[in-house]
Amino acid sequence: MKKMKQNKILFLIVILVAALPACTSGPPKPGFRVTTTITRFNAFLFPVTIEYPNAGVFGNLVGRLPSIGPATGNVEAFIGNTGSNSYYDVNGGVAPAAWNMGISLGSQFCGGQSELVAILSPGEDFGLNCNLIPIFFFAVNPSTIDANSPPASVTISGSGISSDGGMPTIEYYNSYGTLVAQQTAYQVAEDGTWLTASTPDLSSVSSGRYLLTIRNPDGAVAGNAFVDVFRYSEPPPDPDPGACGPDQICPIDPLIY
Amino acid sequence: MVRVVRVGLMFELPNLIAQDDPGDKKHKKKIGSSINPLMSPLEATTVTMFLLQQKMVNDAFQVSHKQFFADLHKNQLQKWEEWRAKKDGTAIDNGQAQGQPAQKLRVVSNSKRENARRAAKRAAEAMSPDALLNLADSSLDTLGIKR
Repeated sequence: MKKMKQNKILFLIVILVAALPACTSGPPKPGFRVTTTITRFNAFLFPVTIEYPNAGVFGNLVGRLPSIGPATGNVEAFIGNTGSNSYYDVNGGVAPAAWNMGISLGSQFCGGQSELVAILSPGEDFGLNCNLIPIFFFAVNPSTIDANSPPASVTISGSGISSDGGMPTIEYYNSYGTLVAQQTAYQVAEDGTWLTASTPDLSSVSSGRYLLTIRNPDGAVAGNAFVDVFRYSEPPPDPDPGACGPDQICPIDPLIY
Repeated sequence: MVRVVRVGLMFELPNLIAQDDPGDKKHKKKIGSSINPLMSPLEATTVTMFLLQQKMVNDAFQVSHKQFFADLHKNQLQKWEEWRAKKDGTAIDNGQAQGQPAQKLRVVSNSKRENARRAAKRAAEAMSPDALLNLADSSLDTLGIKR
């Protein structure tokens, strides 16, 4: 009974999050909305985007676009902050028009960078997206393994690696979460900041990126890292899982859009 | 897609995603086995909210299932080609070595986000207060989850 109540509460949270965009007002007209986001590529090379709150934004009108339509609005420059909602409404901003817009110096990400933006109609919502080079907390050396001549060992550095009661295990998962190899470490730093393990048998492993889970002897996960395994003559296989099984919900193409 | 997203999130949330049964003391897994297909309610909520958020703000997720995997494959192929070029000694500097910033601004269209916002607003406006209040129960019923 308690678990069911918990499910309901969690589901209510999901519904509230899903419904939240419906509660926000639309972009101003005349004018437009500038939304700020951050994107970084995750371990499996797909981009993950999150909102970028409290970013300083600025813009200067470069020129009207009479070929698209008559311009509305009379604001030709702005400086603002996207606040906790990660957007800034430029009320009365000239559109359709070309603008030079950017993130103000001193903002956490992409500060001082700007881009030329064409706003094609009043009331448009467009995004300034800051692409980040990801930072990984656990690093593997070598970060790329040539499957045809693999190194004798791999070293993983991070924190919280333990050899209490045995040696940690390194599990190699493909992007579908299938365990393709595993190996037990043979050396662990006393301060738990690195381990060394023999390279597992990768003879049947195809080219691609793999997630490495470092599991301490007590079963707890110390952290995850990734490694690229490549074969010179074999490109990564098509990752589309294809048809889905009878116990799965098969997405209809297109899923939402 | 859910599985791929879970494996991706495992990297950042190792103590939340794909947790094994704490009663399992063996910790040794078989090659070919999968991450735990069962999700805790908290993990399911996190994954659902993550997917909803990405569908709203990330143009890489605002595509069909097929296109999403095609794009993923393209990225992996690109990585493999870079590695081959490095092996062949024909690699071109990717720019980072030349002092390119680690952060790069780009302009993205939010038209799909705006469409989704409008659709959600229309749907909410069309619902009766009673249906809105019972939305959690009716959705759980539709999904076949015990409430």
